[in-house]
Amino acid sequence: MSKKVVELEVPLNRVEGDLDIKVRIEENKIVEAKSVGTLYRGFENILKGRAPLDALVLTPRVCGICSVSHLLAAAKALEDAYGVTPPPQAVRIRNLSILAETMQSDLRQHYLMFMSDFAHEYYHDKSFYPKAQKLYAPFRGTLAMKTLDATKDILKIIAMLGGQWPHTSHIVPGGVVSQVYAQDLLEISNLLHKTKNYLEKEIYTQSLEELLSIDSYEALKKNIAKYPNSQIALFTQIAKATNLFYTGKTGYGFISYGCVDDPNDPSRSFIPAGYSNGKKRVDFDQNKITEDVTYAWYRGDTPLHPFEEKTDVDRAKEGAYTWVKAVGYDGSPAQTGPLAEFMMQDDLLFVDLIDRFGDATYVRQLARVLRPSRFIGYMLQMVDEALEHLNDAVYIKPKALKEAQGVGLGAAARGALGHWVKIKNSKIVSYQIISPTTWNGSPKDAKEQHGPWERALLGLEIKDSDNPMEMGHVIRSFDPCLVCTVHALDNESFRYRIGV
Amino acid sequence: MNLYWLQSGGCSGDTMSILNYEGNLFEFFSNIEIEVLWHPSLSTISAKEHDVLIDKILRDEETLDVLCIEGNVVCGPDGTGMFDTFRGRPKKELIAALAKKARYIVAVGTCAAYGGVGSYDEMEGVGLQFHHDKEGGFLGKEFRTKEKKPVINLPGCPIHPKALENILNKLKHNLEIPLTHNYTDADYYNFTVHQGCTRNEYHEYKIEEKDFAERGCMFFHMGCKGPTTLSPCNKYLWNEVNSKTRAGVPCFGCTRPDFPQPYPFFETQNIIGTPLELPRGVDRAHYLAYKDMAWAAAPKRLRKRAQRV
Repeated sequence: MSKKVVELEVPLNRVEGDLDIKVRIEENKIVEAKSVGTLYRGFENILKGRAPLDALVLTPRVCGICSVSHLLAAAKALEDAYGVTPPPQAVRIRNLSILAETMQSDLRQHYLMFMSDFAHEYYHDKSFYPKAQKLYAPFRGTLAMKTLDATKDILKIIAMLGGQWPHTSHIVPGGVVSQVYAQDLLEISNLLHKTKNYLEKEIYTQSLEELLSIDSYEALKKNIAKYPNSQIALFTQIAKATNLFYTGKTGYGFISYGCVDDPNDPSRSFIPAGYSNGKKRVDFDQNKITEDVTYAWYRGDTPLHPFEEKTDVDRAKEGAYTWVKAVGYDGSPAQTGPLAEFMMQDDLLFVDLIDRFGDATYVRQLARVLRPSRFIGYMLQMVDEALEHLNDAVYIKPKALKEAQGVGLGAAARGALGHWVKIKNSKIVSYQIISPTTWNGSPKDAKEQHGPWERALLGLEIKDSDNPMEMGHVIRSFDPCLVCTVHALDNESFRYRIGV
Repeated sequence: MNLYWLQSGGCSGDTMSILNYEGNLFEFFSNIEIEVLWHPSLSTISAKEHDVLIDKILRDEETLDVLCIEGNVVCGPDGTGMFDTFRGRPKKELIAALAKKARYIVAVGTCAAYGGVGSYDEMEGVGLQFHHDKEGGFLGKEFRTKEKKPVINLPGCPIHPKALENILNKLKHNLEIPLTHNYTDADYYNFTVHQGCTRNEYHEYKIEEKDFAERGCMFFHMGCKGPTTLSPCNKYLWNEVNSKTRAGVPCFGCTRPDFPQPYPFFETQNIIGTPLELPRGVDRAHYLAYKDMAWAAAPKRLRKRAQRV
């Protein structure tokens, strides 16, 4: 008797950029998964031969949703190359910019892109459906509308500091381009309080203080019982009804390059850099990052550090299926994003959730739902501190070296982001970007280990291969950003098995 | 009026930008009765339903009123277009097919209009009807939509939300759109970035910045293209509150057909201390004389950089 086998290639939207997921389904379960970015923009080559400062204009254009994250990584890479440390007041302005970008991204991703699936007719017989329709339906859901307004306010903060969002270049090696005045900081403070009100009234339906006290799954359940109309409660209810507590597990470790730099010592960050296997956290060393090309269309046999990285194309390579290189830490795949940040902080709630459910879809997405409640606190702190240092310098002129190399590490909304730059004769000769999606969307490596979201799909049950909704939830819980995977491309001519 | 939004060689930045429209974008769509058939970041129809939609449009079973394209048309490597695929085929084939069916086509952002990021490189990105300032681009010089219109260019990296709102509203109200030689809306783009910049007084008296975090004009040394770039950035502010030049970031000329220019940002190309490229229509000799006199007349408060920007 032959097994029922379906091969699907599903173009997945509501992610940033183009993503195709190729899966093989046997008896309604995914047995093989390949993730393929379908757009190649060659950013690393676009930067070659350009003036080093041009990276501040070009790398934000890698990604319209995390342009400030790329800007900051580019500026840090040049600071590392030139040996300059930005003054504390500049770090506060940078922190406000990056936290604003990440917070609006989390909110738009969850309330405009993730939850809208549950308003799809596919779920018409579920009890949550009418409510999901009302709140999240595309272009008209009431919470989608409110979130659009709230995120516009948050983005005004970046515009006040840097002129516009997306695509500004106010962060430069040595600091930022402008002093910020009291009236601007006070306006930013007003916007933050407005945002806090939206979070407390519309999203969490409770004070942030009470929310921050949740330190276990039991406490979370009590909180849900007390605030049944909170978005946490609704997401949890929907997650239970759609099996998200059990899908999407990778079992892989977590990586973060750190987030929210300490103004007085920007080599440290309030959310620490590190690698965690889910139980134990170790210090992070960027020298342990390697890229492996076993299943990518490049020649090479040993995994290499980004500085040693070669891009020697071999399109005829047997077994290769992508232009994404498999990135690893100390030889293992790792996942990055808000959940990784909570793990770096040994957050009691998430340590408990991982213990009970593993890195399931629900746990990964809940980290994104809760992160704004943490970030607003850092932002208010940065504004208060900046107000105390109004006349401090915001820029130290670096000595631009003719020959240098540097690493810029930081956090985008989707997780760990790194830029590696080499300069010769005052021009960029090599530029490597490893984005969070390169970590999460890696192909298999030499040890046959799948990348995190490929791994997360294995074993997943698909009810309707015409609309593999379950797959979308798992993948979107990683918040993929395909425009960021700068050398992602599928050049295979494939069969598309559905919809023809 | 319905709308299909296609993303090709780009960064999604134009989508991110239009979400910042100062009204509520979703409310605006509903107010002027725009039905969004498909937007890759917002629609929830399944891949299969999307296929059916495309088939209907291509078979003329569904009218397509407005086709918005974000990102350039990727032709690399070597003209194949395989650097950007849809269903395993070059996405440029889908663009060509949909372009034949649309009543109006809007190039959203500089990449779609002129090629933009990736237009000087192996990506071989071209604009829909232009490659840089040369007419033709992907669809060709003679191309016209079903309504006999060329592609309407709304350049900007990213597009300003008002530029899109303005065009959709004009189409909805059947207003004539006066097009420039670059097929941009002559009403909307008939401002220089310089107009309304809060550094104007420094500019008038040639008090110029030489490094970041100074107070002054950025035109002579810092590579600012405000006086030579057509865009109302300092008329219709960004995120309703500011602009790059006000914040101390030079204008990079992101609405220009040559963006991103193949020479360095953050420095002005000079001839004996004067920008190589002067504001449009200005006589160099007169300009030099005017700038020297202006500098001599500069008040102390500006020389001392006492004035805020």
